[in-house]
Amino acid sequence: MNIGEMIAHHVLDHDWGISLGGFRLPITNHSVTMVVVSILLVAGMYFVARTGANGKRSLLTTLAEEYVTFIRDGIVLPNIGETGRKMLPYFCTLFLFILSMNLVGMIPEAKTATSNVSVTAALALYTGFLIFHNGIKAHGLIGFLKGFVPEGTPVWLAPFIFVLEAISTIIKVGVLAVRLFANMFAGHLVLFCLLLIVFIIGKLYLVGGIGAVLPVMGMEVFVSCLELLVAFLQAYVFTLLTSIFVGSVVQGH
Amino acid sequence: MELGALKYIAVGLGVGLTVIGASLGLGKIGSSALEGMARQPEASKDLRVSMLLIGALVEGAAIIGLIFCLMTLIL
Repeated sequence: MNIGEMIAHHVLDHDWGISLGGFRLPITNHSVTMVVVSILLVAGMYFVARTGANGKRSLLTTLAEEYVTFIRDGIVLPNIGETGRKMLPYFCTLFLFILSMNLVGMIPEAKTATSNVSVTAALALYTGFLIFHNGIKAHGLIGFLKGFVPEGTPVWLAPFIFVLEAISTIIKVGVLAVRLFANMFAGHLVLFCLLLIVFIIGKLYLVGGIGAVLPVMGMEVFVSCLELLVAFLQAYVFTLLTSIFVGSVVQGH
Repeated sequence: MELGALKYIAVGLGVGLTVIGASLGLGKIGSSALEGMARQPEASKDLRVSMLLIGALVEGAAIIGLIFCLMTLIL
């Protein structure tokens, strides 16, 4: 029983070893889960859209409208303003994607796609692209670069503040990725290691192992509830921070 | 004082200090939010949303520190 191997098998990502002419296909646990859940999401959204197609009111259309209104009035419009209306579909998709990836990981044999740093880094890279794109579209390249340095700073101080703000923007985008990854990964790691405690104690003293099951299961239930809260919270925080970063660039100083 | 033993001492210190910092920060956030809710019960909903948001940010910083400690242990 090698603990490192068991952790690597259950919590980390590993590919299925399918090769195509000397090239290992990137079919891994996380990517298969992500593709399956994405297909289910697209099919579900198509079904929801078709239900309300001819003006028919039903529970699904009301839910979808509530959701879009929540994103629009809570996240996009207060932070970005009127130019955010064009980006509203992206924010709705982002929130639903992260939320469903986080929640699917709570099902026993399914993996969490967002507990892979590549997935969260890709989402954060798109946030960086949005910041860059909207900043240049709103103010032009020179205006975007000038927006880093606030009004009325002395000329000799401007280069330092510019470098500081540029590095700070890059780090903010990076921390966005690592925050989501670390929250999801740590949750599942703690859940798995609690189970390992039972087996480690049981290898030393069999009776101790049997007796350790009940407290460990209590802790597992508690940590699982905490992780459900963290799943919702981290999806909301990612979307809110993306909108705050884009808003601060669009509105200028 | 072999290298393996020093690694465990370092990781233990790191995790302990990180948790102290996170708990102090979250306690301050919670206490100021509760004080605001006690003064103005009708602002309770906005305060709750802000408290959860800032709590997630502070906890993100703490968990990043914890992940770095785990990396030193595993790598």
